[in-house]
Amino acid sequence: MTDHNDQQDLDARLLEQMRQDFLEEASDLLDQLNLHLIQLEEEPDSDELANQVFRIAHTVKGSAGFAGLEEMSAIGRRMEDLLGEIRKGRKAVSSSFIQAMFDGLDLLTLLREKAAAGDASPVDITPVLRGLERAAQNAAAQDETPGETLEKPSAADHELFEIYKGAYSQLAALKHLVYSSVHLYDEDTLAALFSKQIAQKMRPERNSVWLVKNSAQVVEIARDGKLVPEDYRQTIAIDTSPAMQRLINDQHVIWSSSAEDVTDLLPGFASPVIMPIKAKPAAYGFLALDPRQPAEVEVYQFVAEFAAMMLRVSKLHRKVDEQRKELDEMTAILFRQNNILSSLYHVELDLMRVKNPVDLCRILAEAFVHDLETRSAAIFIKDEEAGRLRGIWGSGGLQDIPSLSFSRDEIVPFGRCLETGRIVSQIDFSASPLRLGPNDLTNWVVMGLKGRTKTHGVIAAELDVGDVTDSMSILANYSGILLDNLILENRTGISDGAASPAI
Amino acid sequence: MEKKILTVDDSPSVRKMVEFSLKSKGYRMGGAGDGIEALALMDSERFDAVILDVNMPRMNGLEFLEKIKNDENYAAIPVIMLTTEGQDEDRDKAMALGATAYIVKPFKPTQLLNLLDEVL
Repeated sequence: MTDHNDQQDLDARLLEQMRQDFLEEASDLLDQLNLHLIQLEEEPDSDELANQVFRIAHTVKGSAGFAGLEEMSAIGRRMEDLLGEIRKGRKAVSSSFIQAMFDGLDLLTLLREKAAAGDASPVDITPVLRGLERAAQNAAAQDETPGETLEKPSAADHELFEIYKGAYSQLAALKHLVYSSVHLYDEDTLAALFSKQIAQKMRPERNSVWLVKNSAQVVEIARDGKLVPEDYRQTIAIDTSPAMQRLINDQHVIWSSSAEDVTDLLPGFASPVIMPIKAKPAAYGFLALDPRQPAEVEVYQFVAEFAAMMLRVSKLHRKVDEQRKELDEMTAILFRQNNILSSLYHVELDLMRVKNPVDLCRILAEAFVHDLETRSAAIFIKDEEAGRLRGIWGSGGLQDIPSLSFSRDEIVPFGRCLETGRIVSQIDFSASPLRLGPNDLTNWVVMGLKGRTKTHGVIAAELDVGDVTDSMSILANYSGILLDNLILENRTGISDGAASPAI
Repeated sequence: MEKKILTVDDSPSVRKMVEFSLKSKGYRMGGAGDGIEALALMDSERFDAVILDVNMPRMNGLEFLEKIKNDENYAAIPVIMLTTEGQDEDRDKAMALGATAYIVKPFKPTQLLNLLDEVL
């Protein structure tokens, strides 16, 4: 009995001694811990400090345990775990670490004092323990993602991401194509370019681009990136094909599974998706492809929209070009007409001042050549008494006109002109030249110098340029009216022999 | 549906000017250089009015006018005469043959457009 009691006494006294030793030691340890923690706050990634804190925690855990101070040991153990995580990844300590450690330190200090004072009242250490546990978990989680813990994306998410990424880069390539081809006008070239981009960037099994031509047919322009040579182009009439009407007029997408007649129209395609290139009032054409994956179909619909954009721009360019050409033509015409009318004005002023018919004929004949650009001109005036037509003036290199005179019917075109009052031309006379003395006129016209009530004569001219007969006619009529007065006043002006101005 | 107008004149400039003025007002245009071409064109296309020059080779305007006014297919189509002749003789002849109106060259585009408005 006494042995057991003695042993117990010895154990108790040993334990008590260990306790006292530990409590004294702990005082120092806790002071050091305090200092280290303060320093760690300043230098959160110091490995040295972390190690020192670790050793203290380790000692507290062990020694407090031997001394029977279980609570202090537990706290020490949690601290050690926490430091373990920090040291494992050589991580910097966080503010939650510091907080948890100071909380732990405060509690250890309290527990030590109570033990030293013999105060056995209970203390709840669980909150501090939890704090240290949480800090340890946070430190451990830093291994996987920085900052917060993230969920790893699933395999399905990843696949979708890849698809969208791929689709985005394809659409970006197409956008680039649209911008870079804005200067291209030719639809067929655009179709081939588009087919090529689709083949290279999107890689369906096969693709072809068809365009509407003449509003009545759809023609295959490009296949798999190459222009189809004209002789080899397939055509489908829109009116006779319900599938084409659905596609071009109604502008619906056609899935081969729903329209058997379509696969007949597109030999070589396995199960094509056919998309209209949408426009108003009807589609420009369509895009047919055998996609590799069904998910790509949505992307292809964007492609069809890009194609529509490109074609619309090219059509607008063409329209602008045509209008510009027309404006250029009109400008040239108006310019020329303006020049002619200016000349006519000046000639008419000159004619107004003339006092006798011979001078009038001279000015008129010269005006035809110089202002109206005829190659030559000759004027014959009626000599009523003699029943003849007398040559008065020839310009543009014609010889001997003043020495010529013809009876009315001798020169058939003259006779015809006087009889009908109309312009007569070489075309009306089976293209034969007009012989006036030593002169052979080609490309000729004959028109009357018509006064108010009678025709005074004719002018014959050779045309080098077209489009002057109206101006010639205006001048000839004006002269005719002037001649009304001049001939009246100069009754003796026209007679046999050389024409000469009246004195 | 826009109206379709046939211009018959041996001068390409006149045809171009008429076409330009009329097209900008929404008319559709056709052109012929003389009466024979014009008849061929009217055979294949339907026109709502004809603008007709008088002085043309091969078949002048008055001959052409007579032809179409005597053809039941074309008799109802209004005809506007264009000419350099200021004389009454031509005008009277044309009106007698059934022309609807008469304009002397050179004319202002607005004159022609107003006239066209009236006859259509």
